[in-house]
Amino acid sequence: MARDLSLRLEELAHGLVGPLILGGTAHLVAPLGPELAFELGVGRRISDDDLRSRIDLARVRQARAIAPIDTLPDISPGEWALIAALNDLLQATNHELSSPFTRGRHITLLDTTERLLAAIEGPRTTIEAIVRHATFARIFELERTDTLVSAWAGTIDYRGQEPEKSMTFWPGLRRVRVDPRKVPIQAMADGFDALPTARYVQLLTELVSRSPLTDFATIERTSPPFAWTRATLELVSYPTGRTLASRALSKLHSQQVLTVLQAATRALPPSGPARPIAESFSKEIVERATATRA
Amino acid sequence: MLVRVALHQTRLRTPGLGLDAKGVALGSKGVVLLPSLDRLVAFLALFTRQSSLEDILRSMKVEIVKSKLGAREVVISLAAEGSDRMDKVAEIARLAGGFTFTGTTRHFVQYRDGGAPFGYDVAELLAQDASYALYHTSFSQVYTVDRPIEVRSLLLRLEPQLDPSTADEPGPKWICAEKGLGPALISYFVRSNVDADVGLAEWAAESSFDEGPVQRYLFRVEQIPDRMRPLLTSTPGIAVFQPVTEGVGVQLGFRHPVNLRACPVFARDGLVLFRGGDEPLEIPTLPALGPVTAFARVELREDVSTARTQATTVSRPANIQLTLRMVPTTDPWRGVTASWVRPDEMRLLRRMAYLLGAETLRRATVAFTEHGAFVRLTSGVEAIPVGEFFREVHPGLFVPAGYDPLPAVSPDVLHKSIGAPQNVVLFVGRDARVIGIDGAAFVSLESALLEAQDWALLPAGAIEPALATEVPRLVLESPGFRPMRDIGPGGGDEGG
Repeated sequence: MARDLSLRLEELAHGLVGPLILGGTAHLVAPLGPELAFELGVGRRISDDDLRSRIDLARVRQARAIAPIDTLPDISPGEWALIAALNDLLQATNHELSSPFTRGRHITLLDTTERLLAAIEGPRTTIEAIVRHATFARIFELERTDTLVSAWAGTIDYRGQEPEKSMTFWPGLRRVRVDPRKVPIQAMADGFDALPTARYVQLLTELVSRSPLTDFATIERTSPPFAWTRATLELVSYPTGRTLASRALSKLHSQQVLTVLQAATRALPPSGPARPIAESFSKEIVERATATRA
Repeated sequence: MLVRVALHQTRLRTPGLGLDAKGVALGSKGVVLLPSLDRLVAFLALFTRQSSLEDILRSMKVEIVKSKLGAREVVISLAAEGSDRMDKVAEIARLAGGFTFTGTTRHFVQYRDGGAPFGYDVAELLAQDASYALYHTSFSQVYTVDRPIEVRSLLLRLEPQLDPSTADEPGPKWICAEKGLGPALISYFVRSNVDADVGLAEWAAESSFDEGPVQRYLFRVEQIPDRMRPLLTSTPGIAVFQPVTEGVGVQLGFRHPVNLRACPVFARDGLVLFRGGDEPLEIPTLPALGPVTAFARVELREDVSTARTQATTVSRPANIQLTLRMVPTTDPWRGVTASWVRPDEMRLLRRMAYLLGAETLRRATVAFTEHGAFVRLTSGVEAIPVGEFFREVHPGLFVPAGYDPLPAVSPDVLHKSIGAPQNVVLFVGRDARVIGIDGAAFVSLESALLEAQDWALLPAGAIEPALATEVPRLVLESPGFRPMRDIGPGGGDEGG
């Protein structure tokens, strides 16, 4: 079993973690489920030294953008569980996962991913917040290329796959038209009947909220919109966390950041401890933006 | 045939091949094999764009070689010196379509490349007596020498290429005019007050049918006025040349394929003028040049001879020539542009050099002689407060600052009385002793200061991946047999 888990971890590292951090083509692994996801990173690390060192280098580069840090700990079991959750969530959008008789697999996978995410807590320390951001900073850069191939006989949409050669030969004679389009991570469930889009986006939001610095660093995203979560509020509730969050926001367009933050703050209940924290952080960001402009 | 040299390998089979300090297989010579003469020209052009041929010219030999099948190729052999030089040569040879080898006598193996960072060794030697046995990863070939090629004659045979950008280059120019046009050009320059020197160069008759030696007027003009440029460049029989280095000029509007500044193959006391679309003019020794003003129209007065007669008849001292002396003056210093740093002050100059600004270092020139260093700075040598200061009283003539010559003759007369050639810079000391220094001996102070620096090339590849990170792209594939096996009981494989 231990050997099997090591193999799965290595598979996940090469297929998803490497491309997510270093860029390149990501290949999903078979769904892992909550139990395996939590065991995966316990006492294990990536055995491919070259890949591990390149990943470490890229993570440190991300981390140094917000904190003066030279080394990062290895990917923790909690991060591996989050990576497994991302794998399962993306696998749920894979039409190849099921046949016409097993379409329920997609919903099942969303259910298990929801359970898994519910079991993963937000970062407990500042370094953990930085480490998670170092790993998931590029999550919204992940994209899929769908290709619409039109020919005289009909149209086929290839989701995340290269069109078959039989569909594209004799392009002139068969009036073949190949129309590739990029699909961002938040739209990967769009147009897929077996998967409710709203739930997929909700789970993606949950996943991103487990890395609050990433949540702040991608605040300009259109979907899913930024909303205050327990993890982001915890981060800005103490000075060091607030500094890191404001550094993550400092590279973004200040006016847009302020608009999003104020909208998210307005969505919080007027009474309760969350709103004053959010308001004070928004105020701090406004002051910094004013001071920078001055 | 070739085997790669391994790290820490100590023994090599190729005779004359050894390992340098970096562990690279290297012989005492390097050989570049080029397929044709035009590739040779390309190699020279590329090499001279980056560095001077001066270092390798002494050991460089260019030969046409013949393979056993009769194919003719070009071989350049040169002293290897070290892997740094050979790396540069190999890079340029690769760009010029050639191969680089190294060895000592006869057997030359391929020089190191990306596939073998420590070079190559030969597995088995070819039993041949040919001049060159070249071993390459893709071939092994022996060559006999067909004939040598002299770099100088090759450069002379190369025809300059059209380059209109050189037409407006400022600075001094050489002008060569056919004999019939010379006098007209002289009077034109005199009339227009153009500062020019003129000489008459002579070439031997090409055949017995020629009337006599060919003569052409040679002008050296410091600056051609812009209004004269079209006339001089478009008149048949007159050609204007841009001096590219000492002793070499290329016709305006043309450029030599090889950077001649980096090829010290032409004599400095002669002149080679490369003409576009015509053979170059070679003058082994520069003819005597004199100012064109010497040809200005003169008018003789009727009573001159009478006056002279009277003067001689009245009282004419036998000899009125005086010894030159330098006397202190209270006049303010002007034009202090040189200093004489004597040998005992050289240490001070060295220490002072650390404090000098970049602009001063760049503009100052220095000549080192046995009497010390002579520093010149046109903007004022006060910026380098070392040594005895001199002021320039005439182009190329310096006297100590605060001193005047006695008798108080004009600087022009003083210069003429010394009678030194034009390119010699003269320093008159306080004791009126004159020291002459060849103008070519003055080099830029910044290039004279620094010793050769040790350096090492650092690999820059490591930063590259960081700057060119790819976008993560997801591809969807079949997750395989029983994909939901790890999800637990009721993992959805029962269908829906």
